[in-house]
Amino acid sequence: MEDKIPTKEEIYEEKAQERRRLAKLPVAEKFQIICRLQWRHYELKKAVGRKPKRPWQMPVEEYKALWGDEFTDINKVV
Amino acid sequence: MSRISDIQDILNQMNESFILAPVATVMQFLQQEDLIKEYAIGGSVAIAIWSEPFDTDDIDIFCDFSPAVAGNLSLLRKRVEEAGLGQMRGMYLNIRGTKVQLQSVANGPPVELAAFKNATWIDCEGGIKARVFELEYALAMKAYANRIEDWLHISIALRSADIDMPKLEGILNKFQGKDGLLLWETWKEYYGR
Repeated sequence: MEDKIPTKEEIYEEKAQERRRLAKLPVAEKFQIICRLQWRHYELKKAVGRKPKRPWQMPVEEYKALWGDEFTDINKVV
Repeated sequence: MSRISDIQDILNQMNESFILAPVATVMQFLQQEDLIKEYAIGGSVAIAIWSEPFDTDDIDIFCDFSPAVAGNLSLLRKRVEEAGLGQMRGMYLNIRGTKVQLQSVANGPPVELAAFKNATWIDCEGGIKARVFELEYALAMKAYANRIEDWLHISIALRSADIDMPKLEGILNKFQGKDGLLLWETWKEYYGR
């Protein structure tokens, strides 16, 4: 069985099972994943020279020194 | 947590990896200070709490502000700054690095008010509880917002979360979107029946 090439349906089902497993993780673990995704997004934007959004775990002052204010003009409006 | 100065101590003692617990603690503090009557986490984070996690920019928190704050945000801003919670930028708060956007439920659409009223408590980190939109209401709110990214988040939930579909259909059939159509009609445009 181990040598059998999986069908597309089997591959899709495996991915679906993984998504359902992730959905059932404790909230704390999910937020760690979200933080890692934010860092990945940050690095991707940085790599193409676009201003990235600040990952939650990046200190505000560090971000400001690199990229300026994280808030847009719209966000400044009360 | 009875004094303003306590909030910083509580946040400083919290595990550094916690994200939602500091936010829930600050919201509890704002309640105790009588600045808000109740709150609930909505938006993308509410979806991510019930589905597989995905990248998101900020935490949307819907608030029923106290009368003293409702017409004048300067009181909220003043108390937040006095408590050492940083400078409020517009409706944004930075809680230990996490960007939080406060939104008022006053004059919100009926679906938002229902989502707020029916929000539930969940365990986040360290035994601390946070009040969050139920998944089906969070999805209905996304259908109401009706932007491309909202349907992306709905799709993520559809493929990973345990959705009570009869309950969701009931909500979508009860409330209208901005266009005056039932949300169920909008939903069917995307996903069929």
